[in-house]
Amino acid sequence: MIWLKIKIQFIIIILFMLPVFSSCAARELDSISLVTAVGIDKDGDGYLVTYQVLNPKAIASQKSVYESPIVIYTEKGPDLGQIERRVTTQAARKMYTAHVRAVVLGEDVARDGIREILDYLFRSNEYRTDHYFIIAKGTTAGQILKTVTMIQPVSGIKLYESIENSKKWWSPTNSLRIVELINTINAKGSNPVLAGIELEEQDDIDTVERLKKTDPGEVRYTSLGAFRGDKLVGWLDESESLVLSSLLGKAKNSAGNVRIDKDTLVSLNFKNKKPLIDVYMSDGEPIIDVVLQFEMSITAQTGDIDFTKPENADTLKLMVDEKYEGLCGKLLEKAQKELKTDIFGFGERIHRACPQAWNDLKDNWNDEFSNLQVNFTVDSKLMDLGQNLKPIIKEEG
Amino acid sequence: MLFPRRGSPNNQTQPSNGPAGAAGSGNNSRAAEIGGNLDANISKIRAELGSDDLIINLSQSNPDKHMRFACVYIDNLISDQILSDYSVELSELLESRQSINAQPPSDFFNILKSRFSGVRRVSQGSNLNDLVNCLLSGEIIFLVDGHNVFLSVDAFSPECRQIEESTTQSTVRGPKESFTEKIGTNVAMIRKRIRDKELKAESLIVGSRSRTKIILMFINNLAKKEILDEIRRRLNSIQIDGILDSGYIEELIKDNRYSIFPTLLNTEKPDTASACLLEGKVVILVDGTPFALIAPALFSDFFQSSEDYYHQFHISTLTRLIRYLAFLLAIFVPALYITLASYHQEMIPTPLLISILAQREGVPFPTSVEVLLMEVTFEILREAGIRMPRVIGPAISIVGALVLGQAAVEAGIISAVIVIIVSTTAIASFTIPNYSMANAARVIRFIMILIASIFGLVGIFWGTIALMLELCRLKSIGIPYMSPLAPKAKSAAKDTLLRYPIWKSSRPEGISTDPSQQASSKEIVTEAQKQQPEFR
Repeated sequence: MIWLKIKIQFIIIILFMLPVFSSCAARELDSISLVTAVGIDKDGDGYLVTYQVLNPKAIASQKSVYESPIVIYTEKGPDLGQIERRVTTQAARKMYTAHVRAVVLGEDVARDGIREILDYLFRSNEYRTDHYFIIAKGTTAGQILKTVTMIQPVSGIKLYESIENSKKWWSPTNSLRIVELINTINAKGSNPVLAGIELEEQDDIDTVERLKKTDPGEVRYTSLGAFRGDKLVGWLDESESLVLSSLLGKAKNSAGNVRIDKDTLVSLNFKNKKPLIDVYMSDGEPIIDVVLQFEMSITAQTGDIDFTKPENADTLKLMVDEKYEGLCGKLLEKAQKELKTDIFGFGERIHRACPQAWNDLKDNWNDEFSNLQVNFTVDSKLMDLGQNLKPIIKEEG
Repeated sequence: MLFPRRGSPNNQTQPSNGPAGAAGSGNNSRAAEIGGNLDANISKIRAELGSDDLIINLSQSNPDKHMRFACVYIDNLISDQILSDYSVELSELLESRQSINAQPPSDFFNILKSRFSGVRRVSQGSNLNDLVNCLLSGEIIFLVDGHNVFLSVDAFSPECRQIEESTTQSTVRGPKESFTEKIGTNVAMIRKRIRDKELKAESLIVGSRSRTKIILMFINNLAKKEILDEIRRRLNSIQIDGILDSGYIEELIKDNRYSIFPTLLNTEKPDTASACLLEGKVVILVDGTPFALIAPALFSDFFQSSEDYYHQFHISTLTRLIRYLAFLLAIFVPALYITLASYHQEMIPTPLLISILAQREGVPFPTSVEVLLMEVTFEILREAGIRMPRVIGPAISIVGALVLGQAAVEAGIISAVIVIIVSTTAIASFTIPNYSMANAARVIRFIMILIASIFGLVGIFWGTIALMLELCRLKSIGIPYMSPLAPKAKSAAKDTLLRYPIWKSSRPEGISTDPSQQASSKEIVTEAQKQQPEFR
């Protein structure tokens, strides 16, 4: 009797569980195509989507296979969902997008606005949230994804790893993942910046033959694309990007130089701290004080100034502070006058510090931002002179 | 008093009163008593035990052949050495005592009795059934003409294996000897470790035909009375015709007999058994097998090795944690691989997925079939390795290694990851110190593989929940199997996942009546001594 009862209970439990199980449909590894990167370009009113698919046979085979490590499928269509399904008409397997490492947006798409794309990617249950958004500068996303890259032949993974490493050691590069990106767009007091990538060489980028060269000349992150809302409005060059990363508190390590006098050029490594940002109101207008702090170490120098002497070290500090204060000011001017977009997130600072004042400002913040007064102070600190304290070769005379 | 029941004839009859004894022989012969007539008695014995290995020696006292007596035993149960000793004793007795002739048979009986009781356990009785049981237990029976009581002298000495190193539970450090098939030796091996007057041994006989001797050992003021009574009750309720290994007992007296998990610990090592006795547990020794049972046994007991207590506690804690980890690996790794590779590819890190993908390229089977194929092949190899004759062992391992490891991968039938997965689980299951628990892990692994290949990760969750429920449901002689983890007992948890230092650990709370510390926690080397200059 007891066994009968247990059996009935068991069957009931299984029945209740069935709807749960039905959601997980098995897909064997060899029935899916691993998409490593997606490129989205404009095509008339719709999109031209490029799927970069991994060719596992060529990637990890022990024998050398004369096949490309990546395969590109392009498909046109009015909307992204349709394209993703339609691409099965040319691909052998279903596109599996959970492992997409990078979404590359064509410059024209980015200028038109990326709202719809973000909605599609975020709504999908397959796309994860850990891929980076990259903008193809001066070329199409398709061209970027077609490129066969060296060392890491799957360029989707290369784009991802390159951002990760570059972010760590070279601050100007930066980009956002989807959640951050959507939050930054939605916040009224801030606007996103995404990494811009350029193609260095135009010819034969999509052949494996390139891998035999020693000087591949492939793709390179050159700049940051500044957005107003979900639309790309302009580009920041390298030094502007560096300053922006520092101001956003995203820079960790970077490098730069400063000219002390005619003979002396000092190369420096920077270790950034989070900037101190202070907001206060003066005559009903918000004023922002930014203190940028970093520690620096000397990596090389010309001339024979001895920086072990405190007065010389002080001079160096002053020159560095002056240089970077100037760069900050220039970047602010560009953002206020030329781009008219608050890429610094100052609006959010005001929102947090003075919520009442923000209520009046928020509705047309990007215009108000043009008149915002920001005082930059740079406070650098010389921490390390390197292995040799003084110049090893004394200059003649 | 090793076997208190054997001392007096009253106790002698006790085993046959049990249900096991009753089933063995017919009711009419049970009531039969032996009479004064020697010839009649002998023919009764012959009728009861008509077997060719029954030896009946009729003798007469010298010189006038006044006193007739018989010496009855079963051949081969008694060694030649003992037999010749007895015959020397007997002839000495008969030669020296001239006055025997004048005495009544009862006096001669008493002389015989006193002669043998000096060195051997002797007993007497008049029940024919007892007599036959004594014969079958390897005792020599003396019958004196004109006296209606028989004298039984223990001389059981069958050929037996020497004490050898343990083959199933090997250790690096610590006692190496293991139990043998002879129960007396096993008792001695425990007793020589614990010379406590409170260490008691209770013997009983189970099995209507095998009449296997079972000895219950426990330390009187440590073992809980309820547990002891329950074990006694269960052992006495066993109705079976033969017990050939302690496995029979285990299966019969287990609390949840359909459960896959072992709820009685078996051990081959007398040091493990002694340690359990000191914790207040009960050891069940079964004649004819080197495997002793220990009750109650908790889940954590199956992950403890006797060696844990012979090494530094740091090392033991580490190895014990590794064992639990290995248990989890042995159960879950293939199942998890299946779900990740065929349902949840998004959970695998991209670089790993790429290399798995590359290996899977061209493999004709789905992942679950692949895993099952390899697991089954491995189980076959393992079974073959145990069953085959020792001499062809290397052949099997060469074929196994080549077939499993290389050829299958090179032929593209199996991907290399699977070989790694299967060998990981195999090695992991070997780290579980107890073979019964390792077997349980094996079976659960297959169940998990099946669930995982049908239901994916959700299935594994459900399977894990079911496993937890099962573990928490189990009891070992009334003690919750997962204690001291669930229900939680703080003091006893010191010897579960971790192995606390000996001076900090105490006896398990629910099991022992005296859950105080086993060792004094006082530091032997005092602070002052540590400050002293070192000896030079």
